[in-house]
Amino acid sequence: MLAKLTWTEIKLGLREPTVAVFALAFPLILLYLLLNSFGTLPDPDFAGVSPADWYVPAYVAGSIAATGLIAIPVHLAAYRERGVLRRLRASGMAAWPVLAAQTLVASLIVIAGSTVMVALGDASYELSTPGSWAVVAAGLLLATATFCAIGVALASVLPTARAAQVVGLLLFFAMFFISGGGPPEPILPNAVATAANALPMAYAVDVLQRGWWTGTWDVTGLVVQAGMLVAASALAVWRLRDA
Amino acid sequence: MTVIEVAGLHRAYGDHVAVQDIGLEVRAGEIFGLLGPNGAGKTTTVEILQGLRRRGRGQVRVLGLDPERDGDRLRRRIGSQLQSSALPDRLRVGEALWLFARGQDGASPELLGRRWGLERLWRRPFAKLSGGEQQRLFIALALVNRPELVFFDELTTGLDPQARRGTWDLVRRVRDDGATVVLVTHFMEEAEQLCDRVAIIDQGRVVATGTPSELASRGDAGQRVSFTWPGANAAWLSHLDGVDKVTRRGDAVEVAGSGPLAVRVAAALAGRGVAPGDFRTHHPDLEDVFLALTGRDLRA
Repeated sequence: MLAKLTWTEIKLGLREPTVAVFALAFPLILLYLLLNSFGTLPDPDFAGVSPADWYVPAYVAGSIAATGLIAIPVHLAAYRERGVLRRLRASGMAAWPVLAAQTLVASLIVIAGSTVMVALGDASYELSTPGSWAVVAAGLLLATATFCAIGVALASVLPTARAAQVVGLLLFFAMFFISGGGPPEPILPNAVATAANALPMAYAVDVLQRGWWTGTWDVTGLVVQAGMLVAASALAVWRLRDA
Repeated sequence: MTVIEVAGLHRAYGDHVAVQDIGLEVRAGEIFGLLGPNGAGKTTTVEILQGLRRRGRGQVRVLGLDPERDGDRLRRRIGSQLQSSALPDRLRVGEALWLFARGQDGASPELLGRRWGLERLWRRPFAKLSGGEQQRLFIALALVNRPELVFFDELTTGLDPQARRGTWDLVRRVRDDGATVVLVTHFMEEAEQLCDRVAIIDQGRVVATGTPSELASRGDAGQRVSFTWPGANAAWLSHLDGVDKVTRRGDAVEVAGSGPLAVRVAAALAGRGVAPGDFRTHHPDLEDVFLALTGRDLRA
């Protein structure tokens, strides 16, 4: 069932690629512009690493956040609003394979986007090799799971696809530019850096950057994301039990 | 054999009580109708029966299972067409049948597609289907896993009369294939045409249950006879047994009453040598029954 649903979602996604293209193209274009502006030398403003080493992991987290905060809620809220979820549930399809299929497709988008960004950084901007592939991969998985859960929770709370779009875009931009996607943390005003730490994307960025630069675990980032994953999943399960 | 048993079912949304006290028994192999105006609680009831909504109070057994506890297990044995549901716009007809088919125990999607006249639409996206085509697809999806019990909720709402009649034939075929059918409708004609038994629901309660003809002849909804009889005084007809009321409008006379009304009136007229060419009897339909039971119009 999961395989069928996932395959169907992939086909549907390819037929209507606007949201996925946004989640992929937006970070990629910005990354390209930033890397072209800042050159390739290590810089104290970038915590002593090169702009590519700063931005590529941050933008990987950014594409995860875009997928989780925009693509998933818009898609699922539309399904809920139009009765697609009820239709599937009435046919004996439990909610979890439907949500799992969404998460799988979202992961595919994230992996595709990340691959392109890493290739871009590697080809033209002297991106260094990750300190530990395992830590980076784990960070990628955890961030994807966390943001997918947040996305499903958002979809379960927001009544319409339009509301999901507005709320998702607001949340995404609010955290994207202060959590590593805009000016790097060392040059952010303190108040803004504090605000960033109240939002989930900063923790995904911390785990990915630290794993990339030094190959070590950012324990705070892991714990906070795990907590958000559990909280968002619980909210989604509770909200969707009677959908 | 009883397929659905419901007793004392109650469900409220906040202050609004959608279902007050519903009791039902649906038997294997019948087309059972839930008839009532919009907002009577029909959809809430069938959604509870499918485990798609929680009930407040009451006992519910469907195919021997509790829909709330064994929802997923139950839903694999039933087919369902929901009132407000849709498929993704770009999902094609063939893909939908493939997606919903659970394999081994079900019919093949191709076979079903042919059976329900969908093969011509196989590659058409859901959003490009007409209302009637969407309903045909929903019926096929409801049947794709050979369900023992099928729910149709407002199946023909929004269809033109011809498509509606076509859909009725499809529902009869579902029953003839051996499934039990629960049909939710606010069209009394649909209930009369299709249903073996009907429960009339109003304001969250079952106000009457029976075959359409049993309900129509319950007596609390009267019969009428009408004919044209120019000029004559017809008031004497009101002294006949079973006649409640005689009305004259121009040359047209209408007699209302109960029992074997038509035979009595016809005999009395013949006794006076009167033989109107347009003597007509009007049996009460479910709409009259609803009016008589609730004092309100079904269409209101």
